[in-house]
Amino acid sequence: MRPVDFDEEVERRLRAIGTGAAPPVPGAITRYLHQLPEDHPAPVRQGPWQGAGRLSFPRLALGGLVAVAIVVGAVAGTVLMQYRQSGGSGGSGSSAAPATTAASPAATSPLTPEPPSSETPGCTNPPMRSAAAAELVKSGAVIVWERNGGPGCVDELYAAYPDGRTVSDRDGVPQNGQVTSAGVQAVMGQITDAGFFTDLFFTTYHPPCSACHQHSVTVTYGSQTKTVGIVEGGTDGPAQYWIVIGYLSDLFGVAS
Amino acid sequence: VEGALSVGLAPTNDEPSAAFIRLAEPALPDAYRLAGFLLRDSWEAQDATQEALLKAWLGWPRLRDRGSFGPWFDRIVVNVCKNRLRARKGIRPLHLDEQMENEAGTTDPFRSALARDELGRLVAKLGPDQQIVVALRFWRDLSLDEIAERLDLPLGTVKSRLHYAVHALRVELDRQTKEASR
Repeated sequence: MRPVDFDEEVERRLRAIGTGAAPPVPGAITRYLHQLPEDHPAPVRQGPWQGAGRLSFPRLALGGLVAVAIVVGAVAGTVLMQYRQSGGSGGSGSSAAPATTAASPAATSPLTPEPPSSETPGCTNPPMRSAAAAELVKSGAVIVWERNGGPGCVDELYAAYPDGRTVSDRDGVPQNGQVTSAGVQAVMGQITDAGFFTDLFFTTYHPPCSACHQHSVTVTYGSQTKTVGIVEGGTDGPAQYWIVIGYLSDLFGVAS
Repeated sequence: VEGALSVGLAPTNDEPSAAFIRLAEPALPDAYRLAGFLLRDSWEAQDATQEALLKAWLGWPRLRDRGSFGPWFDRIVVNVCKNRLRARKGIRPLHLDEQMENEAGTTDPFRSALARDELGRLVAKLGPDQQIVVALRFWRDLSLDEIAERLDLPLGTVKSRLHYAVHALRVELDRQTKEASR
């Protein structure tokens, strides 16, 4: 007679626990399901480039290659244009010199930044208000977004609380607002899904151009708090950051 | 066109909410049952199922292959339950005495099912990861491959977790049997 395998016996008994009439699903769950789309903002189907909300290495590599190709193409085009303007002689005092010296290649190159003029007033970005942002986080804000500079040379600070309360300080003018708690939660989910708390989000800095905003976003989710800063007009920052800025612009009703 | 292109990106006549409800509703009984056996409490199972529904709804746009809704939703339920089990660490829930529950007519269906066999009680002593494979295997009746898919784990890891879980239960049962026979 085959001895009883004790593991089989354990498995049989475990299986027996789960047999029998399953408890019916409480009506509250079904009602909750049907109410979900009304209570929470309809999710937006993302484009294929956004994938599962995170940038994978192949996508980053492909994006990098495309960017490099564009820059190389632009440089090659400029060099070719300069070569043609100088009559193809290498630009060493040829007969075409009068036409080219009047507007030297260096001055007309699209890659050369224009010097500041009175028509394009620059903006000296005010320092980021990190102490104020920290205070807001301390007071319970789960999202704090600061942006300054840009064409309007703004100095803005926004914060959202889990209950949907929002506060903002636009150029020294404080204002309180209210969105839905679910709206804040949804944006929190979107930011987290974009990879905010992963190493895909990191702070970068370069001197901002006169029309470039400088951003700083602080998010608190559970026990995690992370601040990431970025400046517009460069390719050094995480691409997903701009998607997060889009979510925040929608949340706080800010024109980007 | 197969897979993501045909399922995820092709236009459908369904509103997103209608499509979501159409897929989620039939999955509710299994989800609630799984949460109930894992959390051993029908009220908490209800909360966990609702939390999983919310997460699923918010993550709905990222689900490319609508055909894999079931395993995807199961994974969300498992993760929600796992977080709740981990959060319980150090907290000992006090349940009403079963006799009192019976008198009050409030017997919890999951607790009473698990209390039918000493093994049901012992499962709660396993770690969350082992409890999850036991629940998926014996109370959700999934194959090892299906469990691996839902937990996003290699098949070998699932087998190993299940083996050690059953072994631990057997050892504990042996110990209790010996103590009782003294």
